[in-house]
Amino acid sequence: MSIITITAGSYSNGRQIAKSAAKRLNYEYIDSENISSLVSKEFGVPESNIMRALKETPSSVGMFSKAKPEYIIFIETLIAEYLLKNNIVYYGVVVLPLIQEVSHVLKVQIIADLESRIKNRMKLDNVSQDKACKTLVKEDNQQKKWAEAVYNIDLTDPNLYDLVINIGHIQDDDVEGALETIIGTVKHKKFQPMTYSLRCMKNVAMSCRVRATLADIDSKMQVKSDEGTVYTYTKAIKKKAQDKVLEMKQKVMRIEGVKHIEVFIDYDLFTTVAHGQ
Amino acid sequence: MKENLEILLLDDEAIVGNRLGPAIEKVGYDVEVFEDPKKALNRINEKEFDIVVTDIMMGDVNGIQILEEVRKKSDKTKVIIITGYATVTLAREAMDKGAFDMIAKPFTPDDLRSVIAKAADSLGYKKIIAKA
Repeated sequence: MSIITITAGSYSNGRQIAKSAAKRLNYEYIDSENISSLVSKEFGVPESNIMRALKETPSSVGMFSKAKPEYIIFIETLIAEYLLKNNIVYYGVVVLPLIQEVSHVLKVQIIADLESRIKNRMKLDNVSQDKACKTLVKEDNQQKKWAEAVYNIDLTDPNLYDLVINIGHIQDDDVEGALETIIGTVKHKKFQPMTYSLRCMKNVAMSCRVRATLADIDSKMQVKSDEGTVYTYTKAIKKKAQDKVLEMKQKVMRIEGVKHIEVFIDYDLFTTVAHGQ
Repeated sequence: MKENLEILLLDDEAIVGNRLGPAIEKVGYDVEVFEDPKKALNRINEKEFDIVVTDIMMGDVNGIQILEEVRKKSDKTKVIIITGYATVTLAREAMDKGAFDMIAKPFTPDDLRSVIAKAADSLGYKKIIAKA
């Protein structure tokens, strides 16, 4: 009845370990990429744009970019709602910082040394050592920048994880060992769901759903939820604040499970002055 | 098997016991309410309860110590933690030490009755109703 999240650098066999763990535990396997078609269908965004949002750093996310910040909110929403089902192995970074307080989620990071990853890539993609090395370093930097920009986190920070497994030189034994460690750990009673942790997960999913619903109004809005009560924190110019609050309330109250919404406005001084108010 | 579930409810804030005690009794459980954790510990040593519901942050003795004492005395008794200071660390510690469940405050009497009903079910009391 638990959830496992696994993150890893590319060609570290993280995805393989995640899939194998799901199979052995009879859990469902999901990752950010295989959920992108559902995101595309529900939010009407081309799947290719969703995929780009998972990789491109916000420096390239702008008005004309195909990787708008709200796409991440859409992905977070569907993943968080998926995780409510429990018995899931999720491979990816999206949502990870949002579920730190959910005690029935075992958060795992897999690390492997660069040399082994290069060899792994050369073998799997049939590329030269030089090319494999360059692309891996580039991908690592890209992932690092993405996590910093989207969540302001350092993916190498061990505090984000319950378990950091170094599979070293990526031998079959190392992969098997990692798998057994994960399966053994998640069976521990402290990772079993309880009323408190299930409520935390529900609150995360609700906050994500509210952010997705309001993304067209403000994609940087902060949202907190507790048992159907929603607290939103946004910016507005004084003149338009009342209309904005009304629009937000109308949209959010249509979401299933929302009982009450509080909107907190931080008046945007710069824009207010610019509008001569 | 006894006809009624026997529950000990411990919270150092009188208002919690005053509210939850009658709400639990209403569905037919026998409830003893305590505000003083030391008195509750004495009672736990005298009698094996089916369920112990305990707060965490209480003066001299905390809820984790209550949980540990209950575990030493009985494998059967289900311990439900109620707390206004819920964290992932506390939740895992409580489960690790054998708590049945943990609920974060604030919660409604129905929330607690529902968890008690689950605990009762796991003890074999199948006919107990969660809602009043």
